[in-house]
Amino acid sequence: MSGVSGLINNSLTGLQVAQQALQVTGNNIANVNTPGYSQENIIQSTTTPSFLGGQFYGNGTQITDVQRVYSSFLQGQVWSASAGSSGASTLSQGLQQILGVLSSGSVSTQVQQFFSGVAQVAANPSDTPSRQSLLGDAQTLSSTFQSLGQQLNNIGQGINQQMQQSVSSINQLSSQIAGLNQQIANSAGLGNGTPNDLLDQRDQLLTQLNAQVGVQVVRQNSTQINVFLSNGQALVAGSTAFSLKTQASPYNQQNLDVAYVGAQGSADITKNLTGGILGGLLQLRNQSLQPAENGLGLLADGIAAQINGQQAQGLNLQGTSGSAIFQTGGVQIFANSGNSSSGATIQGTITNIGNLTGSDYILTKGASGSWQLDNASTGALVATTSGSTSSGVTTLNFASKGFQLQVSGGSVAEGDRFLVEPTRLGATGMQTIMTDPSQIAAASLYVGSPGTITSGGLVNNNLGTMTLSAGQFVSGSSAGAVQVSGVGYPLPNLQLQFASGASSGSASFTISNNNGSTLASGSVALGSSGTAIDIAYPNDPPGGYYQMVLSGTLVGKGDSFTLSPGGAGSNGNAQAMAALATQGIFSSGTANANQQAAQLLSQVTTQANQAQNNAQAQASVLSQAQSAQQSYSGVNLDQEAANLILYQQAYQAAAKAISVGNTLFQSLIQAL
Amino acid sequence: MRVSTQQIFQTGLSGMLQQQNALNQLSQQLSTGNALSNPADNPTAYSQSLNLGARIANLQSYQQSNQYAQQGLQLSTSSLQSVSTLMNQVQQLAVQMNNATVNSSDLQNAVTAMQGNLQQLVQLANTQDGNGQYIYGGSTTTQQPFALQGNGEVLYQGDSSQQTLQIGPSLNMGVSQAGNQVFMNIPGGNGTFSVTPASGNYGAGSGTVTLGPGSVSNQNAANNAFVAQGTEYQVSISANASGALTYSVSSGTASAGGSLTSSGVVGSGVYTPGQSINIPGPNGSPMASVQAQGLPADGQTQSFALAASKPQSLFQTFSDLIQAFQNGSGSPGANAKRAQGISNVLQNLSQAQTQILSVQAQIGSNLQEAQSVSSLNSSLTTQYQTTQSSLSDISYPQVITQFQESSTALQAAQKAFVQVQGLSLFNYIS
Repeated sequence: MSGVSGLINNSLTGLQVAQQALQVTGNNIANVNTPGYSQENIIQSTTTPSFLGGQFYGNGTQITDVQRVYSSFLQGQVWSASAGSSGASTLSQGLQQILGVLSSGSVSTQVQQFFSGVAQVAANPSDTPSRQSLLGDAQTLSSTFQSLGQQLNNIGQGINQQMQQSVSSINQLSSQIAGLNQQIANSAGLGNGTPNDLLDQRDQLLTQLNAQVGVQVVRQNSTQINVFLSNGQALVAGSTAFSLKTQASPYNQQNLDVAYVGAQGSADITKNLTGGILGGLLQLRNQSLQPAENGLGLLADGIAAQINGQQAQGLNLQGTSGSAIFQTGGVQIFANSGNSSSGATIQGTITNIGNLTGSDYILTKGASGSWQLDNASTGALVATTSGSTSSGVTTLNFASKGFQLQVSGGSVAEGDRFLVEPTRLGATGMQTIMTDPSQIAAASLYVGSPGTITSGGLVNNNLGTMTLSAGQFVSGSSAGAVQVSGVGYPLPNLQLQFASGASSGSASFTISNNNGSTLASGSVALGSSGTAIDIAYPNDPPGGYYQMVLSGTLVGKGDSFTLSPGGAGSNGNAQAMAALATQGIFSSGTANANQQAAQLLSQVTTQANQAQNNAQAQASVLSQAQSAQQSYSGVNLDQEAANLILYQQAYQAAAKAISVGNTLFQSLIQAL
Repeated sequence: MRVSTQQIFQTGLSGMLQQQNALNQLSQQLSTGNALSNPADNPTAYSQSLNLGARIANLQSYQQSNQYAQQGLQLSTSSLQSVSTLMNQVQQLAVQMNNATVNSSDLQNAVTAMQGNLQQLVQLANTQDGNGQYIYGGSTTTQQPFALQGNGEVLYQGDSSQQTLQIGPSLNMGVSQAGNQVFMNIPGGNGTFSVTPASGNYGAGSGTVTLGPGSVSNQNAANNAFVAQGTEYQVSISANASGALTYSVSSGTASAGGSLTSSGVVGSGVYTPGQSINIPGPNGSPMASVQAQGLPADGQTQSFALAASKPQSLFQTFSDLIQAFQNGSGSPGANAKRAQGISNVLQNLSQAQTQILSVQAQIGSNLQEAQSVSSLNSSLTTQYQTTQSSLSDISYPQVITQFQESSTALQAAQKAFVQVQGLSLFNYIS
């Protein structure tokens, strides 16, 4: 074509291209706020020229491509930053929750208040209001622990729920991505163009998927992508999506784990998930929440064990041994759901608070009756033992970790595993079980007074200078001590008597009960540091001895001491209980209750600080990646406005050219 | 660099959100005064503040026990002060009555006064604290530890238990005194032996010999003889019909009945009134001496038993004095008997005073220690609290300045946002 019709035809292509360009610009403007949308440009080129009369004449213009402005590198950065940022912010938010529970729960204040109550009883051991108020303090302490433990537990349940939501989002996203893969493959055959909007949508879904869990995106060819989890398992392979599911943990059915549903059944992949909300939740649960629960439980267990232990060493107002004030949740043990034997029962007891840590353990039955204990989080071998068996009960003593386990009621198959959580329930299960304030054991077991009880009064006719010290609890009898056993509650008065006088060498004595029968006899070297009198506790715990020391330099014939049970005014045991406030009972005796509480809190605070900083850093990485990507692919309205003017003018010019063609044509017609 | 429209919007928005967050945190700090309202912002300061809190809690626990300790010690001090005053009065009365010119109505009055004193002493020994607990009962604090019997004897129904409180790291302080240590277990006589006149010494027409409390020159030998061996000595002072004076010391082992079963003379000589008579030990060398006063009647022997001293209660000493006053007056024998009784009582009173003074001294030094520990602890507490507040309290000028900066920045961000959003080419296309 040539001449006027060439003009009109060429202008027409210009008109069409300008129209289409305006359409693309309009689309850009319309999608200015569409998440994941990449601005589109037209690629304009000339059409094939005509060769006429030795010359090439242009045949107008055409659009060869509608292209999205896209960088796979920048998009990839957004994906990985998105996984990092949402994981870090999930962790940080969760830690803020844990920190909020622990720091506002004021465990330290309640611990202090409780020991201040004990000090008050120590100062007024027979005063009922003081005892009553101590029980009130104990109640507040245990309910504080219980409520904090419960709140931490609630956070754990919240994590389970969020995991379910996250897994269901992941499944939805991966099936959408697989669907888009299919659509994109289908539309790829339709011409030269690329389905930009579908690609954008798929990229956006991948951003969302990365926010849920960290994945790797591998481009299979120009149109298809495959998505892999960080352990290499495929979530999306072409148009096929694979799903994840939450399932109860093999040990604790209350906790959810994540499993990959493959062709050969499902496999637990909880440990392999990182990044995204799901990765953040799992990290929060394993590295922050469970240690915090265990730490709080350890604190509760420690206080309860020490106070109850001290109670057992003293006498209450009824003259019998003090019963326990607190009860805690005890050692929690779960059998693996895959165990092949199920008959045996395993029970745990805490034996030494000082050695107890906040760790959880996996107990595995090995070959030939041996048992192996591994740290549950690190997997490190802790101990192997074959235990000691008596009357069908096998006792596995892990003294270095502060607890022991008792296996009874059947045999355990080799390879069976159990999860042992020594302190997990310490706080949630803490209760004050004492209700009667007179049960508080403030008094010492025995008080030694010179003289004998004669017609209701203490009559002292001792000629010598022997003294009997105030007593204290000892767990084992020392060498050379005189042991008195066989006394029971209510405790009888004991009579210590020297048969003959002495001023040098040693003097022998007998200890008899109130019926006059001799319970023990011994001798004391005069002028020495003395002889220990160890009275065996009738009750176990504490199971040790109450030790008093007899010493002096001069004995008269018939000199005697009366050992009477501590009365209402004796504060020996209450005072020892009050001293527990400042005594190191945790971490091999290096930390007292207040220090332990502070340590727990500062551990969580440090984690929260790290998570907070990390979340901020990751957020700014994400924001930079997004702004780099946006700056490349995003729509700029000013640019579109300029394009509008550009294409509008092109359109107007082309129209004018047609009009000129028309005029030329008219002139030609009129000339005929 | 090319900037997308969304980016302009996002940047402006996130800037404003950040400033708002900062303002929110600062206003929270201003309203609470606490710089650590979000502990995760400054874990080091927070954990330091927690550790300081734990130390302050320890100190407060000591301070609380310290306060109880001081209360207990002060109550004991004031009641023991009254006991001392009472003992001084009794001592004066005893000295006053140790006089040949005292008549029977004087003695009667003295007996009445002493009976009152005894009751007052029992009352003091049954002192109760603010909670109605008896402070001198050992572990028996809910019932009266000292019971005055019809026969004038006082029963101690408590024990030797002493309350202790921990007022510092491994600092256990006794805060109460068992009643038997204060009132009952007072060394009798001179602490080694006590002197008892024979019952027939002061009959009608008898002489006036009295024996002082004696002193020990060789403590080891005396302890061995009196306490370990249970040896008793009898000092007899005799005048023959013509008035020649002799003394003899015999030793033996006391039988259940109190008389010496095997007696042997271990010393003798001519007696001069006012003379110190040596008591020889088992090896013959002197271990103690007693001073004798007065003269026996012609043909009379006045003898005294020396035995290891038993603990003597203050109540018993008071009763002994009443007994001595009831011995009457007039005859030289009665006066001598009274004098012997009063001499023994004065000796026991002096032992009691020593005992109570030493208890008071112990309480005083405990009190002083408690006070100094308390003031040390409270200044440590203040120091810790100052450090803690420097960690956790905000500096108002600083935070207010930051608040104003943030608020200015927020306003600027808002203004910039509005202006940038207004800049659009579309405004100019008509």
